[in-house]
Amino acid sequence: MRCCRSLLLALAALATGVVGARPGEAHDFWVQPGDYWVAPQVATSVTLLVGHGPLRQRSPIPVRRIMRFEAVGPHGMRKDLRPSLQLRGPRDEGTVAFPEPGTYLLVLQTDARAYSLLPAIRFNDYLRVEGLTPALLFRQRTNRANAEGSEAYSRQAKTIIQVGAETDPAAPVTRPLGLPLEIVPDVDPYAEPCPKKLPVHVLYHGRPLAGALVKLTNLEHDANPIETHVTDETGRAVFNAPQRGNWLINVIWTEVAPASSDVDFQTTFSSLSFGFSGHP
Amino acid sequence: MRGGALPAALLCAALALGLASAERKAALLGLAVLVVTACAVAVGSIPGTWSDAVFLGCWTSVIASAAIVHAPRDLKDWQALALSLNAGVWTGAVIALAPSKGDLLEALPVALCALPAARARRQGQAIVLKVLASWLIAVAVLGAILQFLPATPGYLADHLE
Amino acid sequence: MKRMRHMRRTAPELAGTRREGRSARRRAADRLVLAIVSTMAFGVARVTPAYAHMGTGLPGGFESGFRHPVSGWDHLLAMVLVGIWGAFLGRPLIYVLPVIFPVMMVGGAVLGMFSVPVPPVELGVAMSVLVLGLCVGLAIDPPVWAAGTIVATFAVFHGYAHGVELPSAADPVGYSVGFVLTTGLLHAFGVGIGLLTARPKGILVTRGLGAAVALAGGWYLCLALGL
Repeated sequence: MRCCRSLLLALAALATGVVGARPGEAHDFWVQPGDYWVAPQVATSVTLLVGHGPLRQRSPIPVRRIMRFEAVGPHGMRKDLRPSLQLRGPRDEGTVAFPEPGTYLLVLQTDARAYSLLPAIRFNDYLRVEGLTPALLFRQRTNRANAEGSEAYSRQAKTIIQVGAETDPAAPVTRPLGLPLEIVPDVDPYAEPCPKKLPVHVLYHGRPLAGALVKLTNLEHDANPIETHVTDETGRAVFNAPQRGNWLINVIWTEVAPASSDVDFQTTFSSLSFGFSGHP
Repeated sequence: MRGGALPAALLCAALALGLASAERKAALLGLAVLVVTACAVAVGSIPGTWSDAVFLGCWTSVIASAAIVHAPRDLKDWQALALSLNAGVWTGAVIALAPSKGDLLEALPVALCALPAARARRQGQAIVLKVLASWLIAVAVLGAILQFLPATPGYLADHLE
Repeated sequence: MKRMRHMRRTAPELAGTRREGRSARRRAADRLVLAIVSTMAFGVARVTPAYAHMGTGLPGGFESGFRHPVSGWDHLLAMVLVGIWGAFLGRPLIYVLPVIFPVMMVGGAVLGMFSVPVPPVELGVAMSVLVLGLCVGLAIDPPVWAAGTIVATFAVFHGYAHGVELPSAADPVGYSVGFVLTTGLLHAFGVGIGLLTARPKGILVTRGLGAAVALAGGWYLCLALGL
């Protein structure tokens, strides 16, 4: 009997270790250049990244899902970069080089054929954490709060790259580029002198989006965002403008899918990244 | 997380209960077979695409090893060795998929419970082993079914295209 | 001479002494093994933040699973009552019921994992507290198959509640180990209480406990029905 007690204790001890599993998601998606400030005609790498903290990894997205990958530069310059994409290369997804100085935007847009199905508790938590309150309320109203949640989702990402030392007031940074969900800064984060505040507008199908949770994250310490704001009725959120490091602003929005769809929601992820790596 | 030391440790615990009905020498030899086999398999590399099959094999082995407790007859020597070899293969395979091979050092010692388990059985306390075996079988069934869930389980990142 | 006689042992006595010595050494070896295994087993389920690809579900592992069955008094009372009733009914039910419950609880958990529609879980759990309390309070002694069926049915509802959370847990295996272990330990605790029936007036105490819990079960049932 003593032996059995000991055996029971041992097996109880077997499972007594603390399991420190933390919550985390792969909701962040962005285009990461090797440096955000480069010299003219110098190639810099481009990597598609997803997730944050210990979950950050290269995106496994297949090339057929990328509808748009282009560089938008000063004086209306546009260049399709899809031919230079080499997804899942040994270190990056390819390189880009800019012949002329100026401020450029790399723009990436995917189709909406990514699919997610999460168990009920986890889906509700994802909606809550990402500020998708209308979707939470919809599930409660339709008695689906205890059901799994399915989405079809797409990604949009913009990255601001400064080529040469002089910033360009005519840069396309502060103009929308027609993405379904887009973060448009009201000021150029690379402007001289450095702005103290960084106001952004969030546009959904070209119209200001109110009530969206927008997050600012330091890409060098990206376990948690530094600042979060909910857009006001004009779709505006104001952050403290960073002057060092590399940064990501992201937003997620979802809407109820049509009844004929085989998913519950159609979701869009959008990001804007910029930084000062390579700054002379 | 899905892997790590815990699934391997549960398999070692199930083997320990299964070996309780074997002769002491066969049980000790079985433990040695477990250690050698697990180490040999764990140092290899297993493609990530095989992970579902590996975990299914692990959970099936937990169920089979724990169910031996309910067998009416004692385990023959060759049966004990076969059970140990099977447990070694799947323990090593699960550890090969784990982030750290050091998990093997945490899982293998659990198999030493075979010695007090055998003693409990000799003292007529086999019912305790049966109750513990039922717990292990319960956990293994749940673990095996997880990979058949249509929804993304908690140990996988969501929205990863 | 006296001392020599004192020291002289017969052959059977010597053999018995050698057997006792071997047995004591084996017991010591077993305890040493268990001590080593217990110490190492504390680290088995530990996960450090340095792991590259941890789960991204909600925080949920062994600790969450271990706490889940005791997160509500209704769950806790029902599982203790299973042990008490088993002890009350004696062999074989004293160990059959604590085996049936975890096994059928897994069946309920699977239904919960796949979100299969079942009658309201809170209703089933409340009924389990009421019915099991009455079985103990009224000293109901059904056939083995009937007792097994009652416990198995209620185990499905308890398991369903665990199964709904399981897919979202970041460490579902640890979570499963946690709630199965807590369930088993609560049964064992109930068996310990149930063994009071062997003492004088123990039956009265146990039946009184059962009746009190049955009253609590009635209250939970009213809550579940919204009364």
